[in-house]
Amino acid sequence: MRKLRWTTQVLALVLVNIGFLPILKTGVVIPFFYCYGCPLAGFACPIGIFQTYAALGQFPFYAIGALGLFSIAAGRFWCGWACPFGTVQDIVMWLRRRGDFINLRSAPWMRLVVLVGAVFFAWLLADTVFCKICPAGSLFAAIPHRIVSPEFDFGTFFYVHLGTLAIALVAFFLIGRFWCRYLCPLGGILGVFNRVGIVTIKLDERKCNGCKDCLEICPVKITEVEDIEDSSDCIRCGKCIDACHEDALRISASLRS
Amino acid sequence: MVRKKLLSLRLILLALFLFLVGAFVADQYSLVRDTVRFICVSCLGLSG
Repeated sequence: MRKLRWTTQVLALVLVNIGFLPILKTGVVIPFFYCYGCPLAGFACPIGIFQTYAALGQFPFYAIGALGLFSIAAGRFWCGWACPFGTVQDIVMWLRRRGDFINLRSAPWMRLVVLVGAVFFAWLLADTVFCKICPAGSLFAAIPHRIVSPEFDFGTFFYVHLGTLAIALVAFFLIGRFWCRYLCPLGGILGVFNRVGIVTIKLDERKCNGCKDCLEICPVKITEVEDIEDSSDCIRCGKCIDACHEDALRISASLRS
Repeated sequence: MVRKKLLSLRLILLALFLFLVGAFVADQYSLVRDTVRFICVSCLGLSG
């Protein structure tokens, strides 16, 4: 499953960059973090769109509907299998070749606080404030845009972007999937749908022998086997499924169960 | 019982989100597309 996940992550990164032709720059909202400020971006970041609508004093019905469809389909599978910013964190985790340096408690509420804060300040200041400090925007948009358009001058927020990216990369090194666990506003939304997502991870308690190998390998540090199915922290990466020798965990896709 | 509730909830949410997309895509798609096409350079900290 590991190779399959890396493959889908690479494919997602390729797919989001189809906007190399203006006609391929679409108004389709994607369910993961990739800045539409990237010169090649072909799709819209939902958090950027929510802020844009808040700044305009309007309600993003279409974007909420589109994101809702992705969310009800697969919850946080998008985080584990497609998100380019998640892929960056996986690469950092792979490079450090050891466990987390710091163990922190789960705090799913923080993601929702970031989401509410991003939309509130966009409304209050009539500007996409979060985009100006977003580390994903730094990596996928600010730096590439400056490379392809050297005629632009560096402004204050370019250095802010570099700062937030540097802080984020250090945090990723110290704590695996730090962004996904504590700060991602999109993960806050998708996590709510982990309970009702059609594609999910199911635990067969009759097969589970309680070895907890699945929890040992979990990048988001879920602490109870029973929480895997419903936890809003779970990014559905499937490492627990690979780690389980009893086949007690499986991916399930059903409207009914 | 739980299964039935979950199925109902999923169907209700699916219907709601499909309605939102169907009802508002004509009005709002172009603004979303324009935000992708016209890059906010100041958001990236660039000027020129």
